[in-house]
Amino acid sequence: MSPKGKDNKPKAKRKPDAPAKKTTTTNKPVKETTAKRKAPARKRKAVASIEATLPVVSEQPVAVDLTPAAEPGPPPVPEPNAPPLPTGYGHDRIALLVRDPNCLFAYWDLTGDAFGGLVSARGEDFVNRCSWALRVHNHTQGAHHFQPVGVETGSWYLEVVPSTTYSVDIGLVAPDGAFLSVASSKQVSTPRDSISDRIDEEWTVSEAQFEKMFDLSGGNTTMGASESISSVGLQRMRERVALQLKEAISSRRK
Amino acid sequence: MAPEQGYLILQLHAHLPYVRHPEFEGFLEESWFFEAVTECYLPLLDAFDRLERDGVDFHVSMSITPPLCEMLCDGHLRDRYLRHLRGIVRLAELETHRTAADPEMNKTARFYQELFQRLRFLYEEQYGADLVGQFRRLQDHGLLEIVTCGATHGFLPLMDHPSAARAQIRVARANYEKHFHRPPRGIWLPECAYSPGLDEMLRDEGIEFFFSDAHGILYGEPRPKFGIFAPVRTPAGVSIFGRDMESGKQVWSAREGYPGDPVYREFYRDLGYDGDYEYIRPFLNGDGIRKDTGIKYHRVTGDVALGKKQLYDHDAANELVAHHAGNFMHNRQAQARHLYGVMRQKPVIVSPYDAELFGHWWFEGPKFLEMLLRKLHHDQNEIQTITPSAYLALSTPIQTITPSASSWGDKGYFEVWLNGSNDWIYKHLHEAERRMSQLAQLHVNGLRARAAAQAARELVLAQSSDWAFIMTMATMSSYAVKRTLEHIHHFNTLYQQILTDHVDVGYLEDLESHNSIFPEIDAAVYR
Repeated sequence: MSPKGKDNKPKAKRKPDAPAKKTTTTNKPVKETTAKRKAPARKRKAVASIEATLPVVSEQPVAVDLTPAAEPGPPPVPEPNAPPLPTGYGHDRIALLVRDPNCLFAYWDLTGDAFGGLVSARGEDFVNRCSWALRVHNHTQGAHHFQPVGVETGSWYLEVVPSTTYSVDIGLVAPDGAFLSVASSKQVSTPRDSISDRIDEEWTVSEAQFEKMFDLSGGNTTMGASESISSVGLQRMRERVALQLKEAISSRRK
Repeated sequence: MAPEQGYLILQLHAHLPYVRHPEFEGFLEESWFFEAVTECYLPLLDAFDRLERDGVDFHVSMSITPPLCEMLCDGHLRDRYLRHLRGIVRLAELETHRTAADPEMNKTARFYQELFQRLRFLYEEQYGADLVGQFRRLQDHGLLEIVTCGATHGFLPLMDHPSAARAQIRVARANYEKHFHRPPRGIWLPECAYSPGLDEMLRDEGIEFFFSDAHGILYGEPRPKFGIFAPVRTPAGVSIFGRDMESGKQVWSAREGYPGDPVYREFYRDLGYDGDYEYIRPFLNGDGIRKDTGIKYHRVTGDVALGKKQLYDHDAANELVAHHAGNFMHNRQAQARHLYGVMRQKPVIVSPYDAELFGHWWFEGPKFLEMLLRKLHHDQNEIQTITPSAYLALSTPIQTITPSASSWGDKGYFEVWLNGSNDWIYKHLHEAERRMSQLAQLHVNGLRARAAAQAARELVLAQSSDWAFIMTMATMSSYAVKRTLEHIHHFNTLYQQILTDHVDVGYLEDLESHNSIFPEIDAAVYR
């Protein structure tokens, strides 16, 4: 089975719910004060609650089908104050994580000296004419491409292909197209998402026989079928959520 | 005597995140733990005891995670649990009077009274509050095989510094030895999550086998000849048992599974919400917020509003449990027979479940397991329950393959623990991993060594996959966010104090008493 006929050209993928406009207003890496982060909407929710050091969730509970018969409740009592997160760790770093065969997650912390060094070496005017990008290396194919990013977003999801080794650099693209790397990630490999073509000589198995075992193993019904692959933990969570919802409702009732 | 057709590995994964809050009486999250003890761990032990007493030869694999072991052995939680248990015994007694005029409800009230009295007797008198000791005894008797897990159920594939995942395994191993008086042979990887390289780490720590989701093996290289119905071995020499989906779905699928049957007890209707507030008030936490009491009078009924649920009849539920246990057994027999025909080798069917499913979510679950194990023992010889170690001891030849990265989460990879709702945690966790490794290299002693040990506790607590999971699943994830922020904050504070040699003793002692998991931990595990 080939890797599901996916187009082999990696493309950048916007984060879920990302705002369409992602232009950078300054080329200076923002010292990551969370207040200035322009994270995509979904991310912003999580971050906003952290930066306020008061993780209040203002949304109305949605899983009403799980709740006792009652009208939707007010927001739950907020947790007592939680400590703030460090804004950065004083170094220049980009990390690359595997999410699944078709998606990598990169985040960066550019609070070290590298950017300042570039500014001193090349001048502020030059740097202001550059734009930020990720250079995505496909080591399996020996190719790379650039993904423009807003440096202040702090992270990016990349669409990739299975069974492939990648690394990324974050840096500046100069007006003449030259790439000035600020930080480089380690290499990571995306998982395989299909059956191997290799057959073990000691464990020979015919195509038909393997197809049968694959099918009996749930290969044709489970892969990518979220309902069947999702864990009981989901159920457990549903019940915990329900518990909290009940709590919110009953605190109003009492 | 060997079975005629094949083997069945029932693997129960018992886990709760570390929820211990001595600072408040009646902390909501502590009640997760209390409910699981009452509804799952005690009834399971009771069932296993009865089976053993009746001479039923059964074999079950269980992971009991280090945080759960630590909570089960914690003096503070034991005291609070006992108070909680005595409370529900008292409430059940009151209920027998309150429902005296309604024979149907009164029957259920008396059933709860008897049940909770028995559980209190088991916990307090028979087991002397030592549930870990009981699980250990069952393992020593060869009925259970207990495997370990990550130290705090940390999601290993999303850790960055190599010392971090290794420390999760090392701490888990040491904690297992403390509780079970022997080294673990197997591991349930947190969230069943595997990525290449973990096998070598497991081998280095003396772990012989782990479990994987089906596609981790099916997409392995070269092709696994027997699919998931025979263990495979990684090039590092660690064996893998693959998860069978068919038997899994039968039990836990919300749509097709047994627990959704109209006759079984309804989880979401509870006296804690239905009862008169003044009456129920003494049995609620200090905050007076309504919560589950464990006394539930209704059954699933069908797809109707909670208010329309009909009354529960535990006799009818018991009859159905026997039927479902028989059905499960017949399905496994048919599955094994068919597989044996295709494979010409006895298959091993691996059915992993969250242990808390049995009893907590599915009230009749422990009874189901007990009935199933009885039937398998008395009624047939086609299939036999076996533990992973016992299966490996059969010395059936095992194919070597390189497994693929996988987890048992939604979509099969890591998205549940890495998405827009929780991806912000990794920058901070990864930095803490690096800093922890740095602290370990300092070889500090005295107060700084104590602070470094506490820093390790804060780091592993921050790493619990439960927090990222809750952020993904819950509309209200404030507790998970808060726990993450607090542990990261404490870690970074201790880190600075150690580097500058200004350890604040009061602060350290406060953390040591609150986040007291793993008293045995040593920063050296990060070397």
